[in-house]
Amino acid sequence: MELLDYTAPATLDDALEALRATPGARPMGGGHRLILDMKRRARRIPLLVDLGRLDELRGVRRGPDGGLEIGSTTTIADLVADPLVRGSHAGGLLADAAAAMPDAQVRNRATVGGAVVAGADVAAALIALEAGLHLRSGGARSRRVSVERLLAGEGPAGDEVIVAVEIPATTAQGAYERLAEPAALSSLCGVAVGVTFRPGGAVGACRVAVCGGPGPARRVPALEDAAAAAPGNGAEPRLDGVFESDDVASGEYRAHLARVLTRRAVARARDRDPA
Amino acid sequence: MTTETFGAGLKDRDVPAMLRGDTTFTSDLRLPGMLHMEFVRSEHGHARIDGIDTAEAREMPGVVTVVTGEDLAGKLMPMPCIWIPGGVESHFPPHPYGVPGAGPVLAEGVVRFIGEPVAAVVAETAEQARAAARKVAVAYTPLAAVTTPRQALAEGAPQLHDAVPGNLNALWTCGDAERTDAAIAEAEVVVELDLYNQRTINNPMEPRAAVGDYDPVKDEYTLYATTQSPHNHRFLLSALVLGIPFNKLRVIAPPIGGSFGTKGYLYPDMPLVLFLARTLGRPVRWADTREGLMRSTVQGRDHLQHVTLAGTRDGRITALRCTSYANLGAYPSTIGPGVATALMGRSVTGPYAIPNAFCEVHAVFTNTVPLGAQRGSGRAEATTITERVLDLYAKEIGADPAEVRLRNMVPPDRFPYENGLGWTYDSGDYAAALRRALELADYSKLEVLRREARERGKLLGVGIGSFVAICGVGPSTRMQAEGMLGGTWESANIRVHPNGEVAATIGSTSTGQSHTTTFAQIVASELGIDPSAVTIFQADTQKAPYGQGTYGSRSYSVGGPALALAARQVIAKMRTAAAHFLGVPEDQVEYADGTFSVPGREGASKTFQDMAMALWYGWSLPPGMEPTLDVTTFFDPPDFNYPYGSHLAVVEIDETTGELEIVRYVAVHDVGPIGNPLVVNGQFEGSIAHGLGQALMERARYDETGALLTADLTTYAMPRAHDIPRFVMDTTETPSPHNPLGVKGAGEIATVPVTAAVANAVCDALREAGVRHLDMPYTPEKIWRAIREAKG
Repeated sequence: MELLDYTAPATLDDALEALRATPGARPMGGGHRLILDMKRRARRIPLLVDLGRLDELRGVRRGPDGGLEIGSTTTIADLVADPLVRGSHAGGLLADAAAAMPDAQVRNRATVGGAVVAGADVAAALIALEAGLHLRSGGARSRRVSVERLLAGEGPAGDEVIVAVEIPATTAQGAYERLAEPAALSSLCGVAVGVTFRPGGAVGACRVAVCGGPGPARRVPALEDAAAAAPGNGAEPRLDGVFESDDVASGEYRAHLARVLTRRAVARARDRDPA
Repeated sequence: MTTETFGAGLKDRDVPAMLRGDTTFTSDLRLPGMLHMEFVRSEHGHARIDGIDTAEAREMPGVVTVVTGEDLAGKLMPMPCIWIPGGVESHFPPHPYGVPGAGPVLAEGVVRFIGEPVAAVVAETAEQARAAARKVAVAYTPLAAVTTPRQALAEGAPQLHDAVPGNLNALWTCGDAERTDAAIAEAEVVVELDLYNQRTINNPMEPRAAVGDYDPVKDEYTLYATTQSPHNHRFLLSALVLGIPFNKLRVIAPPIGGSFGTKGYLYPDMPLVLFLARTLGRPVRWADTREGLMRSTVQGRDHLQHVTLAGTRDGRITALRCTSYANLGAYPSTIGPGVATALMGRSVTGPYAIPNAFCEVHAVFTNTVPLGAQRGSGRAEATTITERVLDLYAKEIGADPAEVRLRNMVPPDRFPYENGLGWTYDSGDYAAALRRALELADYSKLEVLRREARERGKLLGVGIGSFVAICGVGPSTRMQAEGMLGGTWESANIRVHPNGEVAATIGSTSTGQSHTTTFAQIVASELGIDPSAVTIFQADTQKAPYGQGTYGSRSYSVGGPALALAARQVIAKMRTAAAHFLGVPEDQVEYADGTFSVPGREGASKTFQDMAMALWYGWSLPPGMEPTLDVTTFFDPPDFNYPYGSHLAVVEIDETTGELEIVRYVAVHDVGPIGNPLVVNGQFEGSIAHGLGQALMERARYDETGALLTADLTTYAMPRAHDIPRFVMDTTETPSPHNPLGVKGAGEIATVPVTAAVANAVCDALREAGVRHLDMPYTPEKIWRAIREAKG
């Protein structure tokens, strides 16, 4: 790793100013991805702006409407342990997905903001929960965007900082299922479902988000349709082109896992549903 | 011997500090004025070097020098290879002294594997050396590469070495081909199998490191290095690489954090840090990284095998024939060619009495990291193929695989047993160990479990791995016949200090196997004293007597007896002196619990301490007796020893996803008497985990250019604690007649049958889905695909 400039501002405004002033500067949460990329020399970053000292970005709050606001530098370990996250919002779907992140040291360092950008398990759960993000940049600029759209290519820009993750209130149930590859323990395929059940147990509305492989977490409508179809009614969902192949697994196997894991996740969500 | 000490589960003396990181490992050494070396490694699997521009690197901050292969010409000789299998010709340019060669210290003109050192940069700090190494500009013309033996042996294949037409280093055989072929032709049942035993990368916790120091006043060199064999490396480096007197080189192995075979090899950094320390007049340190280790430390396994087993309809094996293509990598490593041939080939009959057997091994050069030893090497590759084909045979004749094994195992009354391929098994009751494993696994009830699993949507499979493993390397003359360039005896020294403390020095070197604890137990029990009074010294050619090192499960079963024999000489001398002082004939003196006494004569006694002091003073000794207790012994065993055992794995496979779970694992071993069960069981557990890694996930992968695709631990999968099932272990005890302690090797044998047991269990589970055989590693996607393809 090469020597680089580093700053750890005490206020969010100072952090935003530092990012604006140095082109190419990057904000750092826990650094679990950024540091590895830099160590491999995959990225050269002139200035690291450490958000670690910004207490205002940390913590989980319940809003008056029942939604959750999660500060972007809240660690994954805190997320897993948080009673609000564990006990609400689709049966603790987010806590389940967060717990999948390997390993304990990483969960202690990594932040929810960083995990959104990384686009793996936590991001899939947030997409299933229809979560949004609050971003700020220099000059008091601010915007909101869904996790789904952010990962589909809408930022964050170089000088933007994710301030908070916002999860709307929901009556859905949920579950997270995954199969890990054995080296880095990242998900070969992970599936997050947020689902509402009709009286009698049939699936009403269903959101399915997947992760695994080269691309970021995304919604898969074909899996949502299949989950909503009555059992035995409907062919296997077609997932052509949804999953890519890499050195770890083929896209074909990932697609197969996505179908299997979606069924398992819906079944587990149903088990959790009090009705 | 006092049994309280030998056989006690004493805790290791050194490991806690090593685990805490408090130990000074080689890379922690800081000598005054020390410089740091970094290699520039090849980025190509195969390429011509058109030029090396070091100008920019030399201008970098802190840089002292940059050297290339050209700079070393006439100053360092190439590396030697000391184990080309006996009776065959090595097709590789010899070392200038006529012994087999192993290639240059730094590449000369051509690079032949990714990671091959091309240049070395020396700077004031390690960071500066690394930064400067990136500025060395090497101009390459990429050449076509071969990464598998099949490619390398093909007509028109790219050639690695001008002197090696067809890329074949050696074709080695053992057994009787004609008789075996005739038996196969006549057999009632013939089963064949192709199996690829994939390449693995050894990952001890501590990567390799070396520090070279030179004293210009005395013209003496000191090498501190992660080496399993300081004495051996002293000899090879001084005589064959540096060309300096033996007396001028001292080799020290600081505490080592794991090795598993890899640190028994000569590597370019060893001569280079010494050469540079002399030319620069300052100590030079090199320490590898994890990524460097993956691309330069010898790798393991990598045999492509075909086996034919013949037998009768009622389950008697009549012949076995095995052909193996060993992927040696780009150069012959120090002992790699011998490991890949003899250790594998002579072992393919396993624990069975097979009347006709033959094995041939084609040792082939490819553009991959050189092949070496990995825990259980050779024997594990042999066991996997033999145990797999034996299961297929059992299934072919509709017999229980356990019954077929029991029927064919060498019976206890046939020892010593010559296996037809060159090994003479020493002692054992192979069937008893398998029966014990079956009992512990509740074998007769496993069919019930299989049905229960089926109801849960799981495929259950049962697999046995029975084995015998040559260990205790070895009888020197026998190893001469095997082509080993070097003696394989071991040595020990015991000195008894005036107060009765004992300094025991051994020629082998611990790489984490608890030598200082277990060897102290041998000495203490032989001397009848407390082990806390014994200190073990090792791993320094100036402190230890001559020695050979740690490999081939030899430290305890070849070095241990040397220590025991020295201790017995100490007691004999003490007894003679005690009899003299007590005024009785020597045969009236008894020794027990640290006291020499004369039965029937109250008060006539001398303690161990009394005798230590008396011999130290040298007062009034028996006529002709020399003062002090200082005994050096050498032990060259009459033959190898052959630990054995049986493992049994039960696996469950999720048919939908291909996920695999080991739900039961039983391991029964016989290593003779066990000096420290805590240590030995720890070796068994680690060895099984090692084998499970290969069975379940480990695989080194190269692309067609020779690039290593699994060059770090995010891409090369290794097992973690949660991948390792609970083990049920037991031992039987059959002493070896080949050493005075009766002990057999124990450090690597439990790896040997693991891949066999798991492969048999997986293939047993998949049989129901229509799969005949599947190669390791058993990743979920591979299993899922096999099931899908079998179903059509």
